[in-house]
Amino acid sequence: MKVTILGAETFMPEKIRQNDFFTNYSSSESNPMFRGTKERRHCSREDKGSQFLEKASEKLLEKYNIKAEEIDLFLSNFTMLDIPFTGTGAAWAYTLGASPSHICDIHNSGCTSFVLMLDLAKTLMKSLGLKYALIGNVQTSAGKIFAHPQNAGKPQSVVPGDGCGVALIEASEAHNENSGEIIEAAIANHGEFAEDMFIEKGNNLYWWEPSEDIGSIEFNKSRIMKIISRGNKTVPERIKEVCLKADKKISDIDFLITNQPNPVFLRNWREFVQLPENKMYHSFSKYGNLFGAAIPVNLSEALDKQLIKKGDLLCIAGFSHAGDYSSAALIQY
Amino acid sequence: MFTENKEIKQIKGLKRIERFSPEEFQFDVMELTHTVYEHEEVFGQFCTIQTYIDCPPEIVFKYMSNIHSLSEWTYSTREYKKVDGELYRGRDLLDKNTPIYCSVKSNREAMTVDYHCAWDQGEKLWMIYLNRIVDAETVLNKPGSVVFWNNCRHPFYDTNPFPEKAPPGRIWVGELWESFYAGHKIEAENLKKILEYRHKNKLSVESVISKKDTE
Repeated sequence: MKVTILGAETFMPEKIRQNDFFTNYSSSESNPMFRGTKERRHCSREDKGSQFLEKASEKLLEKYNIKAEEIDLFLSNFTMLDIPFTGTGAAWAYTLGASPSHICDIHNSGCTSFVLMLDLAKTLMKSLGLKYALIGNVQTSAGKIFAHPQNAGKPQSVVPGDGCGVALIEASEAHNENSGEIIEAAIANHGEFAEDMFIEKGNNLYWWEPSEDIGSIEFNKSRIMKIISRGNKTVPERIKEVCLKADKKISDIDFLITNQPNPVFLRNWREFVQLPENKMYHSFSKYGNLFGAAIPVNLSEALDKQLIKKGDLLCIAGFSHAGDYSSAALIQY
Repeated sequence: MFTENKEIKQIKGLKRIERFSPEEFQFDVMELTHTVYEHEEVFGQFCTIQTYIDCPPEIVFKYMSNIHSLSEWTYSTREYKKVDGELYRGRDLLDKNTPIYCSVKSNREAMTVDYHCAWDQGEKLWMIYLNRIVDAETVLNKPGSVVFWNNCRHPFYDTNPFPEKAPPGRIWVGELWESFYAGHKIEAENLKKILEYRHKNKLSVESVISKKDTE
C-alpha cells in the first residue's frame, strides 16, 4: 500500500495589496520587513476559510475526476478559526458535499502543519483502509488582523498574506504515474517555545476579553534572535532526521519546499540542503508569509510549473510559530 | 552623551544607532546569520581557532613562548636550533625534510606569543602565527586559559617567493591553506592535552623545556 500526493490546488483571495498600503499607515518605507516583499493577498472581513478550502478542493476533485463522497478523511489547518469551539473542518466537508468518516482540525503545528497532516493521513489511511483524503491549509489572518487599521502600521504587518492550498491524497496498491509517494516524515515538538508567540492586547487583557483593541500577533521581543536561531537549527535537524529515517542522503534531495516566514530562512534552508535557487520554489514576493498555506500553495504552483520532475526526491520542511514545532517529509516523485 | 561628531558623520555606510534603527540593525543581523557557511567564507582569508585549556595562563604563556614547545605540540616541526639572536632553524617533517625558520615574539604583559616563521629561508619570516592567551577566570568564570590562534593569508601562501630554495618536488605550504583550520585544530588539541596533563600531574613545563634548550 502506497500513500501518495495525487495533486494540489490553491485558492487565493483576489484582493492584491502592494507595499504602499502599509506605508499609508505610517509603516515607514525603511521598515526592514519590506525586504523581499512586494505584494500579498488579503481576504475580506466576510471571507470564510471553509469557502477557500471548498473552492480549492473543487478544482482538485474535478481535475482528478473524484467525487466529494469518495473522500473519507479531511485534515485541515486554519490560522484563524471562523467557527470557534466547533472548528472549521466540518463546515469544509459539508460545503463540498462530502460525508467523511474522519475530520480532524489540526492546530498546533501551524506553518508546517501540512507535514503533520501528511504523516497523519498516511497513518490513518493505512490503518483504517481509507482511499482518499483531502489536506487543506487556510490562512486568513492577513486581511482580518494584520490589515486592520489598528495593526496595519506595525512593522510585522507587511509580511503576512492570505491564501489556501489543498492536496489530494490517495492510498493505493497501484502506482500512479505523476504522484509523489510520502516516504517518511520527521516531526518534533518543542513545547517550551509555545508561549513565545501570542495575541497582545492593551491593559493586559486576554484575547477573548471585550476591548476596543483588536489585539495584535506578537513574538517575545527579548527572544527574537533565539527564535530565529531555532528556525536555523531545528529545520536542518528535521531534514537530517528524515533523511536518516528514509536511508537517504541530504544530497539525494532534488527539490525543496518550505514554509516562507521571510527570505532569510528560505535562503538558509536552501543553503543547508545545498540546492541552487531554481531547485526551491517559494512565492514570498507575491504572497508574503502564507503561514500554513505556504507549503501546499508552493507545492501546487511548483507542480503546475513542472519544476518537480519525475524521479525527483522532494523535501518539504519548516517550523511553526516561535519554534514550538518543526518537521520535514520526503516525497518521491 | 557622545553621539556623532562631524568626522563620523562624513563616513559613509556606518551603521550606528543614531542613523540606523534597531529594527534595521536586527534585520541586517538576521541576514548575516546563516544556517551553514562555506569553508572558504569562514576560513578563506583568516584562520582563527580557539581552545580552552585547564592550565593557568602564566604556565601556558611560559610554555608557548619557549620555541622548543613547538617540537612537542605541533604536528611536524622538530629540532629547533639557534641560528643567531632570536632566529631558530628547525625541521618540518611534513614533506621532504623542509627547513623551517622561526622567531618567537612574545609579550608577557599582553600575554601574546607570536611565531614568525618561514619555510626554506630565514631572511623574510612571513608565516605569522598570532596567539593570545586569556585568563579563563575573566572570560569563562573558571580557572584555566583560553588560547586564540590566528593566521592571515599572506600572499606568499599563494605563490612561493623563493622557489629556488625549495627542495625539488616538494609541496608548497600555501597549498595546505584550506587544511589550516583542521590542522591547527588538531595541533591546538595537542597543546591542550600536553598542558592539562602536566598541570594535572603537577609536572613542570619548565623542566621539559629547559632540558631541550640545553641540548
